[in-house]
Amino acid sequence: MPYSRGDRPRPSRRPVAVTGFGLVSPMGSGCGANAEGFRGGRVALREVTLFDVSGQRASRAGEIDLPDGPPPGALPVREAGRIDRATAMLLHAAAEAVAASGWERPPVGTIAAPVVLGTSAGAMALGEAFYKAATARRSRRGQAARVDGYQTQRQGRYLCDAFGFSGPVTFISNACASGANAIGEAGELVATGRADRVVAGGYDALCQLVFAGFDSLQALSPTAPRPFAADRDGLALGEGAAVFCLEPLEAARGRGARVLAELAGYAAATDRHHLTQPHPQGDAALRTMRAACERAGCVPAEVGYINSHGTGTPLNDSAEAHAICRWAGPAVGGVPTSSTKGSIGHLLGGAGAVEAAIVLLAMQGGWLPPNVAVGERDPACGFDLVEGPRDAPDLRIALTNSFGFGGANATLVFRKPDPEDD
Amino acid sequence: MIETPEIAIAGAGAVSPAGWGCAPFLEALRRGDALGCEPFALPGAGGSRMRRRPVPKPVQKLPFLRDPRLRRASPVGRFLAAAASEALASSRLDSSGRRLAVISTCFTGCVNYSARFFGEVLDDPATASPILFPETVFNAPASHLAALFGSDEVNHTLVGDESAFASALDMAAAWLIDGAADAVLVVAGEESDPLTAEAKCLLEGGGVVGEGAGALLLERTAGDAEAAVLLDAVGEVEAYSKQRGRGGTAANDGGDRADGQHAVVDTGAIEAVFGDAFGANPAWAAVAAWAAVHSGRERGVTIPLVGRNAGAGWARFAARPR
Repeated sequence: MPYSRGDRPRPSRRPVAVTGFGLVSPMGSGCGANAEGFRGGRVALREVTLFDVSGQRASRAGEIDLPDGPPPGALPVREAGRIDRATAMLLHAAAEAVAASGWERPPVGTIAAPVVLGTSAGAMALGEAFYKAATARRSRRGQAARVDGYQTQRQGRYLCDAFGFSGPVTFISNACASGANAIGEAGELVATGRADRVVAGGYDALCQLVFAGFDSLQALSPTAPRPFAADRDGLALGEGAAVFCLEPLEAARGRGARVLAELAGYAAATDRHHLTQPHPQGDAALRTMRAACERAGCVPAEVGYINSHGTGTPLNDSAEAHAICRWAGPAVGGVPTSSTKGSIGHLLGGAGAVEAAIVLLAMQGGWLPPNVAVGERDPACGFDLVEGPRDAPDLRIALTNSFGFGGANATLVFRKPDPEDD
Repeated sequence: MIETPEIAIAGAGAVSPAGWGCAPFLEALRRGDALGCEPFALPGAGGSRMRRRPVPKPVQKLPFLRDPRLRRASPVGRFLAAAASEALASSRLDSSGRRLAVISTCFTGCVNYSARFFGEVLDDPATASPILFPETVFNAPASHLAALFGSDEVNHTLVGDESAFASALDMAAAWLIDGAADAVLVVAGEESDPLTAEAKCLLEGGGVVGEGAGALLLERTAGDAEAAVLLDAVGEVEAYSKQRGRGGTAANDGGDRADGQHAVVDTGAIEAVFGDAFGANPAWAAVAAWAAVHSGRERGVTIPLVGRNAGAGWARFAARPR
């Protein structure tokens, strides 16, 4: 709903329901495979095969085996054959989300739903291929298609064409907070009455430029990512996508949809400390955690699980640990917290969305994913660090943090639906 | 109930191939003559069909460049910083204690550093510069603005075609209405590079590439008489589809060109003078609209924000009613 001076006042905020979500991650394709993998404490990192990493310190990442066959959705065969890896992940996640939502595409026309997506690199692999061919001054054959496919607009167009979304598509590129920002802003569209249905998500695929970038910063672990471990030595990258279908809670109940969760809170802020390093005490993280919980109407003692940003780098985990302790105060010892990046890697623009999906899987199944391979934990971890898979049948409220380059900080809070919504 | 407050376009800034500041931009636009351009080629290439209009070096040293955050910033980061600084400086509204948010839009982003870094990776990844990589991310320039202006508030970078600027204006209006911020810098910028020019040649057959940035400062007002230019409306971005391509959306005409009530920014004239600076062009169009209303020349101006491959939107600025 666009802005117009003199608009009538709009109704107050309305609760936002998640009625469908889907994901693709190194743990597998779909909710079932991911739930099974995380519940079993599996680690899904392996040697990178997509590009040459022989010249780098690190060689492992969360690389996905994409399902065989054409991508889901109604793309023409010729277009479906052209899509890049990142778009394929996005389409697989969207297919699962739409199927769960019960949103039906009309015989003529589209599903009236804007789309908000987060990504840090989009179809960077196509950009890399374009660069190589252009600088080597090889034939221009294929270059136009690479340029066209590289643009985020093309990925958005594929998504809308495949599933019949009207759009428009807004791309938020805030580094590692992109996916969380996208879900949060999509939620705001619904909460404030600007849209009645919104598709939201985040995605990123492994690519050589970004892998080398993190390696150049010596941010990649030469061993294994061990978030919150006292001797942690870096992160591992991963790839994946998650997509959510959001609508007003009242509308979802009215059409008899299954409400999977309520998107109860969202907050974003900027950490000005440094382009790549967080404030040591996690000031911006504290701010978003407090604001998101205030929006959700909950206090720290009521939060049953935190899926932390927890990259495994010395600086992030320390800052986030401080922020969590400051946020929770005396209740911190009772707040179960884990990072799933030790299991699947850091999915960058896809992280916020995939980790939100993991939170919902945990909430649905009544379990908590583990923070693997900790060993001796960082003394800054005053919270209840979940080191092995754990049952959590009473999990009702969960929070997920995402922090990125440029100081982009975002926190989402989800609430389990009331029994009447099951 | 959530009231819809009045939103002022409190300030504007620009960097263009005409120079650093709104003044040279508006003067060049008024004259209407295409600025000089230079050949532009991939390294090692012989002749080139590519042309560009670069931003000239600033005549005077820019004070904000002394900030440590900008020391290694990409060209587009500096363009954005200059345009945003001018927008903030030109605002006469009360700025004390306000929460300033930032929305930045771009089409291509920090392409020069990205290309340089990837070249180093292909040569020898073990020696690729860690100084370059962080400055390649899309939101690095916007984060520098936050550091420059002391903003801890929400800061988004939107990537897309020209219609993304309409989305940015709409998002800024929403934040101001909802109380998420007291003021929002809406900025857009691009830097020229041979690979982007090559891409333009491939997809569009040629043309002159430009570079630069534009910035607007949006603020909630309480009927402040100093708020001479108001955000009158932002049209819904209509996404292109198989059924409705670029030429088939209602937003192409800016929403109300037909009724003749408002002037319409001639975006073609902007491109003819300054070149195709992708995501910066819509911001320049918005600055031109702001200037036309601010000077009293027009009572209202519509800005077509027609994207080349994603969607079409529009916005309208209006003078405060007398």
